Amino acid sequence: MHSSELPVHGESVIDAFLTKLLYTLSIFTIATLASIVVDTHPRLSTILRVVGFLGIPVVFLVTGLIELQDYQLLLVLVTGIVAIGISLHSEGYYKVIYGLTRYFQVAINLILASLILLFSSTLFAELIVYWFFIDIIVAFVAITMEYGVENLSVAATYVAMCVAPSDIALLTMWATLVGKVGLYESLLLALNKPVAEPVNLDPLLSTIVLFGFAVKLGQFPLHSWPPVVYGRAPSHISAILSGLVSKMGVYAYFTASQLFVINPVAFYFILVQGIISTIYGSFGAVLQSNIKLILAYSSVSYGGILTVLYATMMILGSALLRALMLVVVVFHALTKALAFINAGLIYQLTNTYDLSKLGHLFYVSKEACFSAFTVLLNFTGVPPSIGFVTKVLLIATSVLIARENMLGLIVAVTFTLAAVLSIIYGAKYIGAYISTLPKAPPRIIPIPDIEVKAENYLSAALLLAPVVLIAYISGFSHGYLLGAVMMPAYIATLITYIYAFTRVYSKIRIPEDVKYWLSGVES
Amino acid sequence: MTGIQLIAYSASVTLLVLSNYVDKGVYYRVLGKLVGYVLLICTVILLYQFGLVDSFSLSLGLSFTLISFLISVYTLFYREAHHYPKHLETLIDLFLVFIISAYIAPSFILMIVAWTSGEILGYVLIKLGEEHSSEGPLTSSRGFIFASTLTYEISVFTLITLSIIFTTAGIGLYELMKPFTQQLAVVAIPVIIIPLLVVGFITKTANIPLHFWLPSAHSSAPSPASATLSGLMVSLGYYGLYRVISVVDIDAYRAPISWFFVLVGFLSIMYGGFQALAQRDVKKLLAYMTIATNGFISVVFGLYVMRPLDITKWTLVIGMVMHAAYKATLFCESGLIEVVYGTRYVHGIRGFARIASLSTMGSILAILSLLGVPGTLGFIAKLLAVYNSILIVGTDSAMSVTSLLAFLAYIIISALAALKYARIYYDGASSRVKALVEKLDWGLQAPVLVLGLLNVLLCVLVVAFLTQEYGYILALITPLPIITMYLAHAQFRITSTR
Repeated sequence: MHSSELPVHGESVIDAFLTKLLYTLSIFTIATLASIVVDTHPRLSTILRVVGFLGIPVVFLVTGLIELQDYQLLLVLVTGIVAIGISLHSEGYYKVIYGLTRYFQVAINLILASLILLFSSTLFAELIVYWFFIDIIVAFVAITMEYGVENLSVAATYVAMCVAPSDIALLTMWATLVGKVGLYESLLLALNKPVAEPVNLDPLLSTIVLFGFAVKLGQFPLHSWPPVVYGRAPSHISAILSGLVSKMGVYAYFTASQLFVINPVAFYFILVQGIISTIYGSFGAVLQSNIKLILAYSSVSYGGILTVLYATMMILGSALLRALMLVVVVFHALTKALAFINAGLIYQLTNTYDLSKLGHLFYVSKEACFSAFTVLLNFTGVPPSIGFVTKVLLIATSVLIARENMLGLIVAVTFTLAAVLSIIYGAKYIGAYISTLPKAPPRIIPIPDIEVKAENYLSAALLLAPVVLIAYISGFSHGYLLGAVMMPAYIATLITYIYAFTRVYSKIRIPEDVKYWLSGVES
Repeated sequence: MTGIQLIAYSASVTLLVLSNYVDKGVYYRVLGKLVGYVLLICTVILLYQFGLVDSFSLSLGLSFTLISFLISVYTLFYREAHHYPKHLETLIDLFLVFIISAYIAPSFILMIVAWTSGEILGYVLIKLGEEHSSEGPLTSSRGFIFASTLTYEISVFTLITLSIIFTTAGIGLYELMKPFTQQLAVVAIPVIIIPLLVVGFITKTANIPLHFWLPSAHSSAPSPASATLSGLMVSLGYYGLYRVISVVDIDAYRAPISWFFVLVGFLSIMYGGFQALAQRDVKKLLAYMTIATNGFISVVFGLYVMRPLDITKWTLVIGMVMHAAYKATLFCESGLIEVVYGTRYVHGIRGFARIASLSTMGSILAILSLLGVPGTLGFIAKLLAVYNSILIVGTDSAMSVTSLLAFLAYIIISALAALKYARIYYDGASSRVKALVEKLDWGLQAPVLVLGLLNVLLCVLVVAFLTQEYGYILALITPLPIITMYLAHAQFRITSTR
């Protein structure tokens, strides 16, 4: 493949470059501006963040100034939606903790903006640059943001066990491309179009590449970093890491299989990794008593599911599995981001993540409970949630594969196990809110308005996401039947759910002042 | 050397020595040094223009002269703060000039002369630091002269002897006086000579098992001398090796030699890295990181011996410049730590960013280079290193995988060491060591800041020197390390006043 055959933008290469530069600069500038004015003009900052994270990408994508592939498009939009939620929530959180929030906003918004730019990268050079930039900012700045020097060991874990293997994978990918097409051409390689002649990758390099990206999702045998890092990083950084940064691994999976013909040995290799991690992560989550550790182990488990899906998709060459993988990506990004910022809220209210010390948060803050319920719905897979759609699809598809290939049987068993265990840890999570009644009248702690708004916004996004996905799946053969059945069911259950929650919300009263006799028996 | 270069060179050295004896104030002395080093840069460029040195020497000479100027200015303020004797400044200047001369020397003989003088000055400086400081071992200068200098002399004399015995009759020593840019005679030598020929250079680069002299020597010297020894001088070993293998016919032994360098480099990365992570003395930490980084460069050198490609040669250059830039910055910063806290045991020190705000920015950039942020020298060195090992994946997979593992180990270890070093900047409230001064003089801090900036700027310069298009791309990502530096600095400020 020579430079003339490369799928770069041809004559309009300068135009495309300038458009991309405008896109990049506007997102970075608006994100920075929003962070700088956040203490003085919070409302303007909110508007700027919505424009920067969602408005500009949507404008550029709808007008066709930037063309992306389906998985890039989906990731950009989901990142934009989640980014607004996390950014707004962190504003309220750090105002409560520190009074001023500007510095934290600069760091968080820069990471979020870089993520959006990474997922919308049209050139290979962009992928490399943003990849390294995000990893370093997360390791060197974000993880130590709230706890200072005591979190440096966490940063060290992140660098040694996650950043380095995935860096090697990315560099291997890049170096192989350089060997085939040349240094300059490899950097200008277009990522937003399928490559005409993918490069053959030998078994060794294929395994190095996919292994490195699997590590980003916390896969066995380097599965021990997510509990440490997600567990001890500031909650909003955990939300970004688990919800969005781990999706860089998925993005790189897709990019790798687009640029290279990967040797099948590597798929079987990561399939085994994925199956072990799914089972390990699910069991690990069930056994924890720390909210953030539950979520971290659950991330390992869902990373495993994504890896298994990717491996089976590539082995079987199935388009349905690809669509399913994107559904899981959306589900996991939204759910984990919401769950982690909700965990941050729990810490803000109670100063602990320990489930054994929590139990009646519902009576302390009803607002926080709504999003926790949404998370529960999605973990356990109650209809109409996207968690339900995901679980149904996962199990149904793996059974479908099992009819043709023995592989499907193992996959089906793994997914079923993960689905069952996620109900248990979902229940443990909501236990922080409703497992006990308060012994004394609880002190009601006000939450900043912006945090409630951010959580409700992300909850709404989670509840509405199935509509988009059902519409998307209906495009597949026989999918419209599924869509026709699911859409009314979805609407009906959504209404029921909201009605039920509001009834419960209004019925439950905070107990009166409990009077004790001297013997300790209630009067 | 022809007349004009000789004049520029002599003028530069004279000016540098004299500038230390100007009594009019510190700015005049800085000015004198500036002119002196600019003249040195002119010498390098003239040598290149007249075809006396090649681009390898040119790139190293230019970037190291820039670093040297800053170390020299730093010495002016450092000497006063630490009450070193007056002649420290002159010693450091001469030391720097001799080392740069070794890099830009047009022929073997001149290189050997400059290098040997540098060795002697290095010994004097280590001795000076050893006697001046109350911390650190007392046998370091002895270790330096016996281990490093002695083995270097063995190799050099082997080289000289070789040139007399094995070159074609009638040429003899003249071969060692010919410029490197001319076609030198390649001599075939018996295998027994090769260890003798390379041992000195391996000791100089402190690879295992000849590493033992380095940690004490580099940590005992005064900080500017440490920066020079560690940043500029150890790389001379690779430079010497590069020159030697260009005149010795090693085609028959390429595979064993390159395997030797890769394995020794791998061992040095692991040993140096783990030792660095266990140190409490900041200068010891940096000294052990020198061993690890030299292990990294050794692996690259092994790949170069295997397949002497152009890109591998430039990876070698960038590796050496990366090491010089970050090591000079951090060693100069360690001198400031000694000024502020009176000790270099940093495990109890926190909140240094509040006292030395300006120099912190510089060292953050060095730390980022060590972490490998895009836009710094560290990133480009690691990137090219991995590229080199992927290049041979088809021809020699075993070496490809070994070197890849070594680079992975180096990436991890350098990042961990960077994070360990960064501890001193966080969280001022929990500092267990009391600062002796509230604010540090900006004159001490400014050279460190500029040295830190070189980690970013030299990246663009060196790469633009290689390929212009690539230089443009790098210039575009230069803001990234600066943004990261701003964020980290702001965070240090927030946490150190809390």
